[in-house]
Amino acid sequence: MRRKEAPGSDAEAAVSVSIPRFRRVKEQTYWQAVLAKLLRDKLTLAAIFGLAVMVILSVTAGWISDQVLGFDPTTTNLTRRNAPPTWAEVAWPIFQEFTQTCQAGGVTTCRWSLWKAIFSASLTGLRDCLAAPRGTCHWMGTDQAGRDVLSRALYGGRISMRIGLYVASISMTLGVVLGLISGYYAATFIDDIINAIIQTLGSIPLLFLLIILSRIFQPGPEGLSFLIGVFGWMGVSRLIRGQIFSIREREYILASRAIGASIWRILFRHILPNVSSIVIVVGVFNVAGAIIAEAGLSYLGVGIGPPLPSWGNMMQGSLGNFTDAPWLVLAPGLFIFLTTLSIYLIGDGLRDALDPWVK
Amino acid sequence: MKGYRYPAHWLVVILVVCALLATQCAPPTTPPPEAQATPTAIAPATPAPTETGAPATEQAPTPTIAATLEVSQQVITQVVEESEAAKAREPQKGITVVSDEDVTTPRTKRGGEYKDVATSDAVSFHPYLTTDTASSSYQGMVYTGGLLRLDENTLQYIPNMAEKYSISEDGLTFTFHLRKGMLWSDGQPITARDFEWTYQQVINPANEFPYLSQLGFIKSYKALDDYTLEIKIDKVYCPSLGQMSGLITPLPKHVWEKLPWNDPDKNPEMNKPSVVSGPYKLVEWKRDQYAVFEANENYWYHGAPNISRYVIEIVPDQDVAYQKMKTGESDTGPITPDKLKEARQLPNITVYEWWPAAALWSYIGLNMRPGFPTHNLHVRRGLSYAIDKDLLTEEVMQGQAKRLCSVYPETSWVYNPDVPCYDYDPEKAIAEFKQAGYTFQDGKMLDQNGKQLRLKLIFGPNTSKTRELIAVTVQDYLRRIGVEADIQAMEWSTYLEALHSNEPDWDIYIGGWQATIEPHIMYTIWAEENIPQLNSVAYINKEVERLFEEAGSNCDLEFRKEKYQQIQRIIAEDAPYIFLFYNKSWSGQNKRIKGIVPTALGIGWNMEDWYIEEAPTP
Amino acid sequence: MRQALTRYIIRRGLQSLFLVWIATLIGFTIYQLAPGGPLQFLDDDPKRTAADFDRLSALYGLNRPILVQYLAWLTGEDWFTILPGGAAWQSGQCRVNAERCGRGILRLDFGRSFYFKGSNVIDLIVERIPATFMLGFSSLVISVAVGIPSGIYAALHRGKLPDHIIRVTTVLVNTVPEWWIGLLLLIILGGYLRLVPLGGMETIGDGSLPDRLHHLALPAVVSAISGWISISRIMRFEMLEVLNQDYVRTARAKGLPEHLVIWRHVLRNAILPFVTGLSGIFLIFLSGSILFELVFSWPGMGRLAVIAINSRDYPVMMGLFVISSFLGIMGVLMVDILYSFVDPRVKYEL
Repeated sequence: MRRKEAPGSDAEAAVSVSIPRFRRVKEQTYWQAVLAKLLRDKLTLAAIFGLAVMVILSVTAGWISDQVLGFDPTTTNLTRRNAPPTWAEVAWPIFQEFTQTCQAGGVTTCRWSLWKAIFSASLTGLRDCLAAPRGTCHWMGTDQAGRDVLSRALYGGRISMRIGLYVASISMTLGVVLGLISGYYAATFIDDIINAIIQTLGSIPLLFLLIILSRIFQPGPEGLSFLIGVFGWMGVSRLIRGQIFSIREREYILASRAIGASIWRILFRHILPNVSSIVIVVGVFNVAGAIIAEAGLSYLGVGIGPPLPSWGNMMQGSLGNFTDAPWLVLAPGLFIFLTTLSIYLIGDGLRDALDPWVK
Repeated sequence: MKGYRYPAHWLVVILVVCALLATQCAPPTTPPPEAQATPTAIAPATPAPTETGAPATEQAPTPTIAATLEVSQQVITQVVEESEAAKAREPQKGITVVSDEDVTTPRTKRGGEYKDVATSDAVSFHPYLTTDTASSSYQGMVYTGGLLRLDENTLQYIPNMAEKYSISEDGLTFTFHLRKGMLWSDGQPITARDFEWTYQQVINPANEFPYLSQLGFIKSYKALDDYTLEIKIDKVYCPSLGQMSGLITPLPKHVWEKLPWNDPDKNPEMNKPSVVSGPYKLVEWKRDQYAVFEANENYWYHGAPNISRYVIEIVPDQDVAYQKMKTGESDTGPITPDKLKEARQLPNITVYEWWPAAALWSYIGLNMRPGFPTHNLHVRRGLSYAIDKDLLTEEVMQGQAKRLCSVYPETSWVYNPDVPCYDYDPEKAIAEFKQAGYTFQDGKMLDQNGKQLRLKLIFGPNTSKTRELIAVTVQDYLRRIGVEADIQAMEWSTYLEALHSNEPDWDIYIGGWQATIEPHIMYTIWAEENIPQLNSVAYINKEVERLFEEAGSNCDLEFRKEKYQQIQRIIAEDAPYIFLFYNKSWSGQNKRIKGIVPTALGIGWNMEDWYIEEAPTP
Repeated sequence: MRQALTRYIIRRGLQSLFLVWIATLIGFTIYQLAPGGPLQFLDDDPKRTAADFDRLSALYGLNRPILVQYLAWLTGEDWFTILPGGAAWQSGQCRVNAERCGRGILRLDFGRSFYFKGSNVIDLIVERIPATFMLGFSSLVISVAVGIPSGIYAALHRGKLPDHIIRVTTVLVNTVPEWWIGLLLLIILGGYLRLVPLGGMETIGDGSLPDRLHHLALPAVVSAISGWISISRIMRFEMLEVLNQDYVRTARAKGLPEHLVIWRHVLRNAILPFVTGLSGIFLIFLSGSILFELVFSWPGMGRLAVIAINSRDYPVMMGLFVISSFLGIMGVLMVDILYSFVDPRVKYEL
């Protein structure tokens, strides 16, 4: 079947990436132009910086926990369960008092004057915390077992980002290879098979299947990434197939065919570079999608199981503590938010940058 | 000769109960509200372990329980006749007990609607097909069948639907005389024929009653006339009276006779019972949304309950259910230990607390099979010393629990305080490991081959925050003596599978039992024949089995107590479990609900007497 | 032309049937994947012996070759007697009692639930379809109602502030899991501010239209988020593409007022591809129903799925899988056919 390709975020990338034609103004290679455009895009640069920080934090989680924070993410302390951030120890009860005054009769009864005390207590707390020796200040409080939330969130980032990367690489690899094959062999038997698979996976409730499979197999981070990845390549594959349609009849492809280049050489030397920009953009989005998907599975109890921290399982069940320990809600929320936000902004920025000569 | 073995299935029920509790709230924690709301005065339809499974006729309340009870007790039971056997301190032989309790005076504070909230819905109203607590609490609303009931103060069995019972001289024949004038909701009398007919259906293997083998100890079950039931057993067995009292919840023979037993298509009574015996009638049940009940005017015990409508709404998320209680959308809601402090301060909620006679207790099971490090007694003791159980008790349940050192909690009448308790002592722990041939070096516990000891710790369900908390704390404590624990959190059924496996790959697991008032039922978790199901740690001790069998076949209280105390000591010394704690129960109820009296049986025992007092509108 | 269209529809129909068949294969495989076999649920009772398991597998016909089991599941087993020696292929319960013969999913007999004690799987599922559709449909309406205008608006103001605002919003709501937003909003709006009820489909004993809408509001809005984002993106993209077309330039050049250009030439052409996007969104709602129905206590198919998975009720899981796949495939098919009618440019090759 060859109906018009379903447009979407991916298709948007696909089209705007159409091969540069006659607009060359400077002697610049494509990647130089991309880089130049990226460097001009402040927002994307900030996002790249933000993501880099998150990645570095996660990669060095062990060192940071040990040397900077002074807390091991598995060290429990039953006498300090659900403790507020150390710097807010004084301010937190005042804040609670404030919310209580508000509960009495809505906004009108709030005692706004309390905020002065809250601010000054927090400031003092922050100053003390900065000066305190390591291993004494919980920057984001402690969880229900008295573990340091910040170091757990850092370690959780390792797992969540790993899942994101794995899923992206699995789904990208599958999507690219199958997309290239089906695009090149369009309207043949092979294309039909791949299309049938895509259609099948595209029309059954995948989340349902995913839950059943993770229930049955109880996978670790790698297995889970595999499952998510295997169900997530169809979009890429369709996209690439569509792209190939537009380039496979180009002269240079015909030429390399004529000189007897092997199929694989044509696919990987000539076609893949032409679609690489889409692959990059979609891959970037995939990372974020996977991180969020893992959180959803954790909510259903089939994600990464405790005691391994992941952002998803830190979120799961923390909302019940929204009033008495909001740091349990905010910490994983903030980390997921910052990471996925950076990823999306990078993706958006890359999409523009990879089309460097389009205004 | 092998003594009579009580079938293990009570414990299965308990396990299932624990299972459900576990999935609902963080186990071990307060039973879900719907379980508590089950009127215990009438026996739950499926033989639930808490009351019906635990005969306590011979049981004296322990100080702990007595302390929580009110003293004002109306004695409604009298032993009218005692035979020689009875006088010879065998209370289960040759007695006749008659009640002169008046059950006809109607209740006066009628009206209103009670809004319950549950995190899981019932499966069916058929009392003989389901195994989950939600179903049995729904069934308990509409069906009743307790020949006897537990007195909420003395925890003794007293006549209930039977106004009189007698036990033969040899202790093998039990005769129950039903009250006259009990009616089904359609006005037909409830008779012994209903009991008998139901029994016959249940024991038919084709009807697949899940707990069929529980009825194995019954030799015959007959209706002598419309109001007399005669039950015979094979061997003298001390806990049998209580087990009989709630064995069969009768179904209306005149309705069910014409219907197939287990085909919901052709038997509408299965999912929409129209003729009932319980305090409430079902009005409407929308699966996974709500169930609405209304008072049954023909209820045999003082007529219709005070509260006229009873609504159970299903909310899958525990936090949301709690919020519903807070906002007043429901009258009750689940409270996790961490929320307890906040809940006590809610202006519209009263939190009732009690030490239940059937306490939930938590433990860490150690795999005793050969080939596992924990096969070694010194390793088990070392692990016991290594964990600060006092701190766990205090912190995990937020002060709502007490230490447990062996099989029976302090609330049991057979409790033995004189057992080794392995108080936290890392030095001793390391010393025990040394005796087992380990060396402690550079913070690592090394075995003979110089490899660090690694243990696999499993727990389930993986969504339970309390069990996760225990697991990570244990892991941390073990690390302090150089033992690495690899935690694996499992989804509930996988966890059970792992526990019940014949070739387990775990070393330690975190588990919980619901204690029974009758101590003998605990036998099942230590019997060799119950490996690997109930006795998952594979504990084998012939001495313990002998003591249990002696205790079960001689009904003398002092004799039994002594045996159980010996058992507690032996088991504590063998350390097959690291015993942690047993906990208090609690329940939050809206302040407009009055008449709630927490006892060792919980708050549900007098649910029909609860009434609603609307707050005066400001 | 008409002939080509008919041929296209027939081919698409056949293709969809093939997909449904594949879905049944996958559904049946789920059953076989069950660790410890489909009878694992009997593990509740430790006293069940190996003999019990054998007896029950004979009763349910689980000792037959897998292909036979699949055939029985698909087409029923009552007709097996027609085949020579076919009676041996029937399950134990079927041989004993003809009423208990499976009639096969082709005749809408998905067997009986393990967990819901003998209830017919099809009944359990059918009674939940309306709830899922109600939530899915209302969120579809909301996402279209919000997504199309915001997409158009963003496209018309490309690169200006409104575009940026819409773009940033779409990115922002995508950055945290939607179920988490849902639960957070439920606890804040329902628990603290008491603006919306805490889940459920209706107040018990009420069920009037305003009451239902009150219950529907938050779940519908939250589950519309993802659809709204994709619709808005699709619209923006399509609009931009059409705006660059020559005929738009022509229209402008001939002096047509801008609003007419947009209305007559741009919108009409931009909205067409959007219809195809709809099928994808339809699927998102079916899949997403699992999380949202759990968060908002919505008694639909998604919650049934979670109950079935947690209780290992394989007949219900298989039934749900096949039925929701069927609904998904039919949804896509319908959208495709609809599309082929509205867009004359579509090519009918396969």
